[in-house]
Amino acid sequence: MQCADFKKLLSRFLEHELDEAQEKILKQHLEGCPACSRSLASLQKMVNIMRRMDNVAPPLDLISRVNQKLDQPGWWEQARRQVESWGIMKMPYPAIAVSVSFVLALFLSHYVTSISPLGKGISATARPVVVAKNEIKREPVASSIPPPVAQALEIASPVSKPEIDQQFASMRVPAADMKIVLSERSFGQREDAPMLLGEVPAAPAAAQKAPSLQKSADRTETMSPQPGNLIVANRQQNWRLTVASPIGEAQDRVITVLKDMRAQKIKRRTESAAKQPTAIFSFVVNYGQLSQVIEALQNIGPVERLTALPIPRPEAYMGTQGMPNPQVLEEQIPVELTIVR
Amino acid sequence: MAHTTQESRPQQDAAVADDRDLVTRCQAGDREAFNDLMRRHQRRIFNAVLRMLGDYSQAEEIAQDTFVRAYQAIKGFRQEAKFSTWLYTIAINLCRNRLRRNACACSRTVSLDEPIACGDGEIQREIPDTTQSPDKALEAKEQMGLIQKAIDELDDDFREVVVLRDIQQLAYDEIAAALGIAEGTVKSRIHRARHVLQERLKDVI
Repeated sequence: MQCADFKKLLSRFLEHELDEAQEKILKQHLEGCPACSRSLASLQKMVNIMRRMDNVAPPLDLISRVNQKLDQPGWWEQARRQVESWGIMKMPYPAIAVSVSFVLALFLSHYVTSISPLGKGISATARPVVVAKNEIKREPVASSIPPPVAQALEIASPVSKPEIDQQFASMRVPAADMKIVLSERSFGQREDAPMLLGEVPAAPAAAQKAPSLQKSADRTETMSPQPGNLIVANRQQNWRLTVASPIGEAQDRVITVLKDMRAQKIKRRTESAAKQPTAIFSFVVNYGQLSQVIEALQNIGPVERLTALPIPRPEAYMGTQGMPNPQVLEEQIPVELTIVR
Repeated sequence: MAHTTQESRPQQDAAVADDRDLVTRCQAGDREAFNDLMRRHQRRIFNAVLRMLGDYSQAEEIAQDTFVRAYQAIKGFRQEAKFSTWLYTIAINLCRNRLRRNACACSRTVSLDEPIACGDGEIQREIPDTTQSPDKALEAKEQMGLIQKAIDELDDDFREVVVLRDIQQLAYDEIAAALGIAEGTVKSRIHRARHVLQERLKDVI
């Protein structure tokens, strides 16, 4: 047996799992082999250190947070209460059956015919504004989106998630068009709140066609439009937003703005993508706050790139186009902000 | 040199009996009994999740979800396994889901808005070690950080057994029950995982 073979036995030796013969041979070898003896000592040391790695105190409020969560009514309970408030529970069973069938049919027909792959709620011409909890109105926005993009956003009605995905893929705004759209978006126009502009093409083929499109290892795609331009891709799903800006010194201001916007879990990491030092902020905001956060970021300085990566979130498909689910608006979404020095 | 669990066997048996009693009360609707169960297990579950995910804020979330799920499902828990094993199973499943979700996400980050730093700064603070000099304590902290990093880079299967065996110091049969695999598989995984870890850490430990 070679040293490499003996080293593989060390862990079992520590656990007394070797048979007598194996243990004897190993012990003899250890006596004459300083390298294997050192290896055994380092293994023992590593295991000893790991045994001391379970002493981190849990959050002080862990139990109270669990209780708080348990006391919240679940979605089913909320629905049940809602139904009860309509007085349906007092109806005879046949009437309930008819009512449920009717509501189900209504929901399905609406779902099948009106849901858009680009989501419910944020469309090319209107943006949702939370007026109060569970109450939403749509505020018209003067559209500056060019016709090709606006047309691209008018998606036919999908009927299932695969079809939604397929249709969405086919309706991706080409990189070239995207640039045109971007050039019309200015950070100075605050009344023209940045909303849906399209999705960064994910296909490698598209990346090759557009020389300005970069694809990094972690699938983050960034575009290089004119300085001061903004793009917010939208699929009514989980958002991952990347902003790149030549304002390395403004990091503190970014943190201040994010805190002002009540963003949570603000984190920063640095990395060197393409030999360019980059600071990446990630944070979590309520879905309904996203547009306000973007607006606030405009005040920090010229932002060169803002891209978004949709992360699949099937439940986002529930609901109807134009009337976003208030629960979605209140949901916390992860956002990522990249600042390039 | 074999592993010994943190508590002696009679202590463990007493703890299991207490757990059974609390679970029974909880199944009868006693919420305070569940709070007691949480108090008894929160530290171990939190640390297991923390080591599994390598991120404090995510560990907070998953530990919380573990107890929420446990409470919601406790009426169906038949006490064939130990309560702690059952909790580990829930926690591990939630960790797996989270790691899958994180798979395409970014590298580790440092929190800026939370006073509790993630990583091993916490461990340094939490372990009262009066026997060590500051230099040694610093060295231990650094080594823990390096070990955590190496654990993060392990395959999920290896990470789970290392956390449960070497950090949580569970017995092989408990790990096998929590992971739903054979005891022999646990053993072979732990030895291979340690070998991988040792190879990766050979320059520092």
